[in-house]
Amino acid sequence: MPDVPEDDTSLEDMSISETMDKPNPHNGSNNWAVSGEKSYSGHPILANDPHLSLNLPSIWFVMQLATPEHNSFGATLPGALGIISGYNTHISWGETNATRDVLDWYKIEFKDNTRKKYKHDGKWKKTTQRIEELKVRNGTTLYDTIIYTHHGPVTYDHNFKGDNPKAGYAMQWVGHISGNNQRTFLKFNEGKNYEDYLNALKSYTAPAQNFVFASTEGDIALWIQGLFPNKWNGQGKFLLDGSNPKHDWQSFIPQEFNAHTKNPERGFVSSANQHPVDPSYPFYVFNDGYETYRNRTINDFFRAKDKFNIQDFKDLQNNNYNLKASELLPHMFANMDTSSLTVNETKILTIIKNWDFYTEIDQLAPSIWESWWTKLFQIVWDEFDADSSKMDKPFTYQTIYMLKNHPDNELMDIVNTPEKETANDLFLISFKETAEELTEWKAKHGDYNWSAYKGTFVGHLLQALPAFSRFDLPVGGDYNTVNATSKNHGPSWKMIVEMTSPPTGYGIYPGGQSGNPGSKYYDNLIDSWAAGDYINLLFIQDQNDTKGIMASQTLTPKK
Amino acid sequence: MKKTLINFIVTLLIAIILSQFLPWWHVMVAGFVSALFFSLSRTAVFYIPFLAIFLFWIVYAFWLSNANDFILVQKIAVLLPLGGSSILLLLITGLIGGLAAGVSALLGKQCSLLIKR
Repeated sequence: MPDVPEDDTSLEDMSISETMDKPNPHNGSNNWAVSGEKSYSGHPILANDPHLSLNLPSIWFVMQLATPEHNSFGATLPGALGIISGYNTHISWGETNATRDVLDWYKIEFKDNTRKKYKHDGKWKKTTQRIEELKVRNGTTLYDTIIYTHHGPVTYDHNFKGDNPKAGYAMQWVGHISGNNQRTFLKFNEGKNYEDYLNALKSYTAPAQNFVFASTEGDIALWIQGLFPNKWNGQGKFLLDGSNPKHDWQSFIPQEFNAHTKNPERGFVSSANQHPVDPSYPFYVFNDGYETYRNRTINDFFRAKDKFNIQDFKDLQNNNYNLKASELLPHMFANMDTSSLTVNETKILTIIKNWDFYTEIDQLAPSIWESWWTKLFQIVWDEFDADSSKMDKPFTYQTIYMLKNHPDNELMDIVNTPEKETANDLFLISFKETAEELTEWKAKHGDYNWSAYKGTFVGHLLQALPAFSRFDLPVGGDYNTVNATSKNHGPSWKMIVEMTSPPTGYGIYPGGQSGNPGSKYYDNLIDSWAAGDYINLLFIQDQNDTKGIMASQTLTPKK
Repeated sequence: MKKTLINFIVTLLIAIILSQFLPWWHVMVAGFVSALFFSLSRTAVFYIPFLAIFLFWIVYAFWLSNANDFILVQKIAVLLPLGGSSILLLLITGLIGGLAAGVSALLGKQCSLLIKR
């Protein structure tokens, strides 16, 4: 890890009114694999479920790719070469996002308004310009000049959310560095063993992924693969000084030092977008947000017993245990002053007090929890809304930590009330608001059981056109359960593979194989997906085998 | 009576043939041409081509919908919105086609009168 430089310069200042949109914070995934010793059959079992927006036509397309030499099966994305999450005759693979801060912002000071030169290392260095041509349908073409520094493109400036023509923020991002991410997947498709998997990983740069692996030979592994800058402690956590060479990215973490595990003693590997390493890892690791609940439910599940079968895997992917609620609610019940509750409020409190923390569709308690938590989070951090500059609110885990351990902290106060509130007051205030909201909801829509209150839908890409979308799906879970299904986001492909020879696969996704709304295969898998069912995947071994074939098409290239 | 039948059949035939090459307005060409050469009188000028195309489009739409088990027609009947009634959608389809053919037949009739003068 490089040394932390001292602050020594002050630059031309710029303030920005707002920040660019970020990816959906619920984008995440689960994957895991158990070794032969922990498997009911002696064969490793692997699972993967990527969580994305629930859309129609489906994001994923399931296919088998067979040549005389190779045979692979699984889910892929339009435009990708080969199977992205799947298996072949010998190995299986799947991904989760290895969320990591590989995008840094550099404060740039220009010499003058022409922005031809910027300050770096005590000198004025030349910028480069690139003119982007944006063709507008039935309109005049728009030309946009992008200014590049050696850090990357200047993104915020006086033309975009900024206010100073002599300053800007340049974006340095691993995604701007060329690599070959496609090769990794092509090599997975033809891989035969752990060595091939390892070799395939090396060319992969961004966005970093946790690549889970299992083979018929009996190996399981998990590598966090991506190109990671070797940062000094805290580098890029805040705005960096673009004029200070010590703030430049110094080098990259050598690929062989990316965190990984092969055939660990505990007999399983897993990832769910959590913090990836412990303090013994010698490089600086940071991200603005790690998953803090799903990963613990998964690891607890695999620590709980010795052998796991396919049904256990299905149960875990469909697991709706709300660890987050289970870590806060008992504390709230114990510390909330209930003396002022009305009869109706007491009734609602009794319902949630009897909850077993399973976020199931027919329960009222998950709706109470969801409403209560949302309102509580809002009033805990009202200071952030009151402040005029753009600030991200603290994360869920830290919020719950504060509520439980620092109930009298000054941030617990609601700024626009004369009283001085504590965390325990906030519990009561937000609970009363929740009771009011749900009572109104009930008067309007009927019972607020979780299925109705959440209203999960799979929406057509064109603003969820009603006829081309599916609404009010009876599916449990929320964004912090292993079955991470929220209103319009969730497991976009669920796969389980047992490494028999050839492998035996099970899969499902919220959609269908056709993108044509007039086809019955447009959305025919949605109901099974919502019910937590799987399809036995037909991994055809002989191309002359016609069992289960519904239609075939031969494409003959023009000579 | 005979003239009516000829106009009906000619409108239908022209529409079916042209539907292979032209967009929706082939029905207007059919209505116009048949009125030009097989002129009818009074309200029949309008309602014979109207009836021909009304039936043609309903049958044609039914045939297309049948190919996907009426899945798409039901969805479009939600989008329009017709409360998901595919029968209503088929009827409206016929009505629009029929109106287009009938109106252009009126034009064809006027033109034929001009030529005769």
